[in-house]
Amino acid sequence: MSLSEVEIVFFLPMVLLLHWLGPRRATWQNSTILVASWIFYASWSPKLLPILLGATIVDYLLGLYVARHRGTSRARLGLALSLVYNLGQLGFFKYAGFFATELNRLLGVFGLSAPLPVLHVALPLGLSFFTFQKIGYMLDVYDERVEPCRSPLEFATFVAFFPQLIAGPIVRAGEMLPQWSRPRSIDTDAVRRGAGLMLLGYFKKAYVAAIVAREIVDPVFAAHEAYGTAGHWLATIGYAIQVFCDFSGYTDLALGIALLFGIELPKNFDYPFLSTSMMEFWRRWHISLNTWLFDYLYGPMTAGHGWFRERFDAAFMVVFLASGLWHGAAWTFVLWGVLHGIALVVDRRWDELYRGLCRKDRKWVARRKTLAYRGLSWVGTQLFFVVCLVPFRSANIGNALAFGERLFVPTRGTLLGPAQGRMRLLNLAIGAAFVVGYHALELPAFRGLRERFLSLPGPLRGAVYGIVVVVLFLFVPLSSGTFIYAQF
Amino acid sequence: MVGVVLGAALVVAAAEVSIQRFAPIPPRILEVDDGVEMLEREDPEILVLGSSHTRSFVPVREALAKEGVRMTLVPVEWGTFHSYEWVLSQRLARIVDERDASGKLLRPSLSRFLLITTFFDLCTAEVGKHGDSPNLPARAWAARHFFADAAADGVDDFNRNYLTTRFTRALGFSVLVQNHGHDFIFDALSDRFRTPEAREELNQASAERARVNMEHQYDYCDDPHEHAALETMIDWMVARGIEVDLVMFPLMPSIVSPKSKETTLARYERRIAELAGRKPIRVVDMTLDAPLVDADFQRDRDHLNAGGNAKFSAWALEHGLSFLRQHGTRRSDGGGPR
Repeated sequence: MSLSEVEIVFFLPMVLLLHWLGPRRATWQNSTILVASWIFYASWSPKLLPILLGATIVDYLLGLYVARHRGTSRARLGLALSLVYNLGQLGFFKYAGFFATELNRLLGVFGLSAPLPVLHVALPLGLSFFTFQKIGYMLDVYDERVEPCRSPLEFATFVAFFPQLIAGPIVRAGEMLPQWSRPRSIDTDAVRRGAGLMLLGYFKKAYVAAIVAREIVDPVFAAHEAYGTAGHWLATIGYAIQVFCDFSGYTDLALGIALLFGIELPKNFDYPFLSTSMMEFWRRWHISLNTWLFDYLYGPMTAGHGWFRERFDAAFMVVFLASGLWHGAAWTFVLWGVLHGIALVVDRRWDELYRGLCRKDRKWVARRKTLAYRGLSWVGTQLFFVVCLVPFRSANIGNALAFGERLFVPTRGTLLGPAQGRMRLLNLAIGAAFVVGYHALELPAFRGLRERFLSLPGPLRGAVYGIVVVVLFLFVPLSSGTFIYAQF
Repeated sequence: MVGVVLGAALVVAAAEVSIQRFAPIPPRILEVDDGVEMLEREDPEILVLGSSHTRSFVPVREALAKEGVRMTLVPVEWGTFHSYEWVLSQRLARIVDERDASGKLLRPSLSRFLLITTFFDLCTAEVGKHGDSPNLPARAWAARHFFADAAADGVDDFNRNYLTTRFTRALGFSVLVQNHGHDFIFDALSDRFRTPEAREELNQASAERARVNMEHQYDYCDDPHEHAALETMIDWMVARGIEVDLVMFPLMPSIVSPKSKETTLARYERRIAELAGRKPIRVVDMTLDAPLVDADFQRDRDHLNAGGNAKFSAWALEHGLSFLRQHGTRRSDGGGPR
């Protein structure tokens, strides 16, 4: 089941009715959501439900155990058991096949013919998301940032809440458990915001992302040899738009649906295409994963007592290698992580250098604020992000390099593949205008426009939303529910 | 918030009304569910199963009804033999064989099975999960099939077709919903701006495509799985003492090229004739015999229009299908060998 496919039209109203028509008690509301969430998860594959249930029970019990033995070695043992269980599960399902294959290849180089068995197991959906969420909970309990959740119902709902179960945001116990512990009541403002987010999310995901993928990205990445340099650039920029609209659209749907249940999830995207440095970019893109990595990996490494203490560059590399591997067990993701790690190191070094210049001469402070500096920084940042998507999207390093070569070595060839839908140019223009306009409205110069729109009389604003609904009905392709981040 | 909802609803309603002025919602067509419901209710003498062409038998059904003969129609849109076999075994068999507490058949009148077919029924069909056509969830499944499949495999692109169809049918009043995946709004819109010459040119090109397509279908329209499904249906009916008639439905004359006659259609006729030699069936070949002209067909060049249906019905009941009138008298034993 997907939040953007037709089944949600049947599923969501039923769950909402049960949730709101029953007694206004947290127990009833959480039970309804929990059962719905398990059905939602089983709807992807019923065989995978025991993995979610097992993971919930283990960390619920270990959380209580760690809290009971705080300050003793038993607490450390409890935490270690949880980490072994969670990372072991993640490693088994996500990385075992990859590492066995690579090790066999390495052994082959040395003439050793004792290949390890390569397991081909299906990756349980959302495993990376809910595993990180539970690890975060265990570390928070261990470090006494949160109290352990004593209610199995609340904990299970915290782990399995269906809107964010398969694609995040990766929520923190500190912000979610208090919400699960109290009864919710219908808040018209939350319903209004939720409905708006759902419309926005569906527009991004089912319309913009699906059309850009179908018309620009997929044909080029499927057989790039036929396309020229301009076609390659178009497809790569298109892919950036697709990933953004696909992922942030699904997140908006998750946030919107959560609000209909009276639950506030943290935002996961903050206009990333406005960023003027990679550091800023990662504060705006997939925020919940990056804050998780910085809070639970970078922070302890650089502030701890180990080798990484104050070795910020090395820590950046580790964090982005982890981020790359989190996205998938493939060398393309490793390369993507390494590139971004290096970018952050360069970014940090440049920032230090520039601060030094500013201290010597205040003119440098003013230069940093000029349009030229900001424009160049913006172009450099976005260009880097877009180019790094080539390995992210490619099947292997060889393909990525061949594709990358076409980006930088001028080649003649096709610009666009054959049209697969009606009114391709109109749809692509609407999609591009949406992404530009969506970000532009966040700029101080244009923010007033958004305020003015929001202060229009209700029926007028409704008319605009109505037009969006008509466009969606007319142009959303069939089966636009496939979700890129579900595979991670 | 009420104002926003009203504003949005007004725009959507205005779009619906204005679009329906030039692109009306296609009329609701007879589907498997309707046929199943008809079979349950009517205790028919004749069961007609086949592809979408089965819908052309509505006037035949009405004419026979006047003579006291009940005919149930089960059209499987975009089906081939294996789809019909699935519908027979999964949706119809239970009803045909249903008995009361004393063991008597609840619907004892059924004595004739008409299978409506064209050469297309032997073509290798698109196969989804479990070897079934992806069209079955959309056109032929009941809720129990969806839940069983989802319980085994989760909700996937295959069984999602069931939900999509339910959603589309539930909002049958909305042209925007009905258009999704069919694109008839833009077809109608484009058509308004075409000159008669451009329309004719398009028409000729489409006819040529259909001709060439039928010629090419020789390469993949002799699928053993489809043959097997056809024989399974015949055996099932014969085992119950039900007479089986294969009705080869008329094709649009202008899309049948001499090459198709010699290849695709000739082989299809040969296969059916071979089958008739082995099985106790009657074959009624109307492929090119019916007095139908291009104007009797819809723009899809496959289905008859309302006038064509009436013409076909009147002709068929006088010629190839005149034997259907024999069912006017109900059998006194109320049963048969089933």
